[in-house]
Amino acid sequence: MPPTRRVLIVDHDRTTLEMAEIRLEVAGYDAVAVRDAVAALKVLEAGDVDAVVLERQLPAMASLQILEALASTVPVLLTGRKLTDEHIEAAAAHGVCAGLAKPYSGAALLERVDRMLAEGAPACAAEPEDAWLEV
Amino acid sequence: METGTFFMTAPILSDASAPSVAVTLDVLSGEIELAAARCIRLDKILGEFMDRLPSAERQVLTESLHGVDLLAQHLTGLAGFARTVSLAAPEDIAAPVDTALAGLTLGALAERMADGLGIPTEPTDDVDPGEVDLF
Repeated sequence: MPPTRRVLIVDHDRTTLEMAEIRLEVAGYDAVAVRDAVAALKVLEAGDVDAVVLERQLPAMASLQILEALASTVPVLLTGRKLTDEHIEAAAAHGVCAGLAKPYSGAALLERVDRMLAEGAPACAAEPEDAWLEV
Repeated sequence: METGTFFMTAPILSDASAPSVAVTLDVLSGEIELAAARCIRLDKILGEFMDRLPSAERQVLTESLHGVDLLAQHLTGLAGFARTVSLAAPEDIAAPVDTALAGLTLGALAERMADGLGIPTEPTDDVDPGEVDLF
């Protein structure tokens, strides 16, 4: 049996956070849900995170802080309201390899996380895959 | 057309803190999506429980499982509907949410929705995440 993949979800919105946590857990992931950068950085320090679902609009530039701490070591799915191609392209330099505009469905979230962590999935490239962007 | 009538007679958004129709539908879709996720989790738990039941008692659980599955699909469909409408809904028309919010008897739900709608439920020192542009 393959090891459970651990996904860190960072989102200030409690509704989105719980929905994402449940959907990932039911799908077999070890989901860790946090609402702020301090908690996220603690999880990252402990290691063993395979992917991150990160809200772009965390307060006080926290999203950027988290991306810098990650240093492109794990794939990141960037989420946010009014997310545009430009946001994804700009964030690609920080290891973001996909985007998902809020509000999003649990199915869309799962599809992207599955794809990011699929066996043989390409490493996050500097050029984002625009097809992944749901507007 | 009824929708047009509603939008024409609804108050124009003059107070920046009042939720728009778009944001209200967005928050509503998130809550429905969360309810669907909870159903999906319940469905999984019931499925796991099935294996532990004597075969004679499985029929009742099978029917319950079917009902929960239908409910999850129902909620997922409604969430998608509200999400799609929210994306096309006007952002400069205020939604009259005060009475509706006051009518919510589930405290956690009311609090989450008020948060999402940007309506303070009690004085707090938390920083509003707002729409911080990172990239």
